[in-house]
Formats: sequence, C-alpha cells, structure tokens
Amino acid sequence: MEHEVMATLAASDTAMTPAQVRAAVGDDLAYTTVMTVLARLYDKGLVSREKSGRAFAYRAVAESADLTARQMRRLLDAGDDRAAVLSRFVDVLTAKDEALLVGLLRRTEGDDIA
Amino acid sequence: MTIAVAIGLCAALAFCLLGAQIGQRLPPATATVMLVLGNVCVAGATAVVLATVAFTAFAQLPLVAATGDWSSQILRTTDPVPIWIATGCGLLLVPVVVLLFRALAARVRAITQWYRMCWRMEHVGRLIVVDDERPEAFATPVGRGRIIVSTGMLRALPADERRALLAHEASHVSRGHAWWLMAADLAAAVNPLLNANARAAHNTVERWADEDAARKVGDREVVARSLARAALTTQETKPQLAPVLAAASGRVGERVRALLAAPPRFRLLPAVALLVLTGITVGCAATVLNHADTFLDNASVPSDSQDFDTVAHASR
Repeated sequence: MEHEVMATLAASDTAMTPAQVRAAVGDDLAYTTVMTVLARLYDKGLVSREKSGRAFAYRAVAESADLTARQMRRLLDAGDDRAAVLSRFVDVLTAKDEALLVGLLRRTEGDDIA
Repeated sequence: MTIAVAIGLCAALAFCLLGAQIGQRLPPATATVMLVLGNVCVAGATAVVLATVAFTAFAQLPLVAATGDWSSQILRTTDPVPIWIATGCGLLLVPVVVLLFRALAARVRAITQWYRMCWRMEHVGRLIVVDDERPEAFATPVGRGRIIVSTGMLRALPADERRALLAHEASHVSRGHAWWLMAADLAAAVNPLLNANARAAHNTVERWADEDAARKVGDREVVARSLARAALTTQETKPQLAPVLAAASGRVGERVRALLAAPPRFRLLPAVALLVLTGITVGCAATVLNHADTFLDNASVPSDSQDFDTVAHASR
C-alpha cells in the first residue's frame, strides 16, 4: 500500500494531490487511507508537499540522484547476478522475444482504443 | 557397498541431468522447492560419500589407526575399496572444499556490499526509490529484504503494471527467494553437475514471483505486459549488451508466454520422480556411511578392555 503510493509519486514529474494519487493507484482506496499514508510519508521526510489550491500536493523525495545511482550501477555492473544475491525484474531479450513483447503491447493497446 | 555407491551414483546423475527438465513440468513454486532441496541433498550425499570412501584409506595410516581403535593391518586386508580410488576421493575433496568456500565468500561479500548500500538509503516499508533515468528494478534479501526501483522504471510503466512489478518484487522478498537460490548455487559449487538445476531454479523463482504477482493483481495479462514493457525499456537503454548475453539469458519471452497461458497445475508424476531420485541418493549415501562404520568396527582391536574396566569402575 505504502509502496504503491510512493511508487506512484516517484513516477510522476509533478506534485500530486491525494485525489490524483488515489485515482492513479486505483484499487478502490478510501480517500482517508491515501491521506493517512501520505501524512506518514511526509512525517518520515520521504515526500515533500506544497500548497495546491485548498489541498496539499505531494512529491516524492527520491534518493539523491548522483552518488547513490552511481554506486548502485557499479554494484550491478560489477558482477554476475547469480553471485550478487539479487533478482532483477527482467534480463536481456533475444530478438525473437522482442518481437513477441512488442506484439503483445501493440495488441493490448489496440484493444484499449477499440 | 559397491552396489549402494553404484545405485546412488545413477540416481544422483539422473537428478543432475533430468532435474531441470522434470522441474519444468511442475508449477514454479513446487519446482523451486524440489530442485533446491534436491540439489542440497545430492551435494551433501556427494560430499559424504567422497569423505567416507577417502576415510577408508586414511584410516589405514598407522598413526590414524592408533588414535582410533582399529588395526591398520585388518583394515588393509578387508578394505572393500581399492586404495587408489579412496585416495582419489580424498584428493577430490580438496577442490570441493575450496569451491564451496569461494562461492560462500563471494556471496558474503555481495551481501555486505548491498547491506552497506541499502543501509544509507531512505526506504518506504521495503521499497527504495532511486532517482535514476535508467530503468532498473530488483529485490535483494539484505536488511530483511529490500525492493529497489529506479524512477526511470516507474515512469516507464502505467499504474497497473507498476503494481504488478511491485507485487513481483515483494514476492521475491517475502518468500526469501534469494536464500533458496543461494542454497542451490552453493550445492552446485560442491558438485558442478548440479549447475543446470541451480540455473533452472533461478528461472523458476522468477516464474514463482510472476505467478504471485498475477494472483495479487488479479490479471495475468497485466503482469505479462509489465514484464514486456520493462524488458523493452531496459533493452532500449543498453542495446550494446544484447548480442553478448542474448544466448545466455533471455527468459523474459518464456515468462510472458507462461503468463498468457493458463495458470500451471500441480502434477504428481514429475514431483514423485524428483522426490524418488533425491531419496535414493540420500539413502545410498547413508548406506555407504553405515557400511564404512561397520567395516571399521569389524577391524577394531579388542585392546580396549582396559577402558571398559575404567568405565565400569566409574559407574559403580
């Protein structure tokens, strides 16, 4: 729950109001639940907020870019994933798989339009 | 003893060669558990049999025989294993131990590095968001489990697919997948023939997390789409890597195909097959150990009657 709110905020370029967060997370959340989570994240200093009309709009405070990202990159590039005790979401694609995936996305997007 | 070794060897070989293929016919969770437990058992049996056979030669050294209560002469005449085989087994134990410790050290080092890295980073629950344009998402078991996702990856996915990604990574963390894989890999370090099974476990674990995500999100196709989009976005950012690694990995296609198909069903036969092969291997290793024990007992020198008296006195 917290994860999804944070991920939604981090994915957005602009600050989001609780209503926008709720709409994006979907999942039929109560407005108050979203508010509670946002307040908790704000208390922990994980999101910043700014006045937006009558409500607050929230923005994710991501890990400061350069240093952390660079260190992470170095660790990831350093070695083979098997010894590195982590599981990546996706690995490298073969050309054949690539065609399959492009097809899948195109098909489902076609469905959305239709 | 020779028969036990032969049967055990056949079962272990069959497990090494067929384990991955049999595992493919099982749902990913069952396959992972059975492959990993099987790997650990077979690796343990390998080490036990090597050590036991080696010990039959080692025990014949006069100094060792004197420490134990057996006669090196009797041993030499009754030894069921030719001395050169036993010595060979003893020599094989050296690389086995070295490889195991090297693999273990590599993992301890990696855990320490990731622990240091994650310790400093702000996290929401288990989630760490890293501000990086390059798409990246993974789970690491350090610090009770962390999910690390870059903003690049989060921005590439629509909301429902983002949920699928988080559910997939949360499954890795909560099920302790990394520890299962570590066990499978360490077993493969002891017995390199188990490598194929360990690699298979790396794939079944991803499938396991995919299935968990599909259950959580309630839509298999959303998970398939999130995988597809994540993989394609990742591909765009580092196309130069593709040709080198394409042959080695590239399991995303298989995972997507599995998600677009019906959920996997449990099948009894492959599960029993894996269980039987593992059981036979362990049973035979136990038999070998037992044989060696009686063999040493039979060669024991009845000179310890004195010890017996002392014990008898003490108990009085």
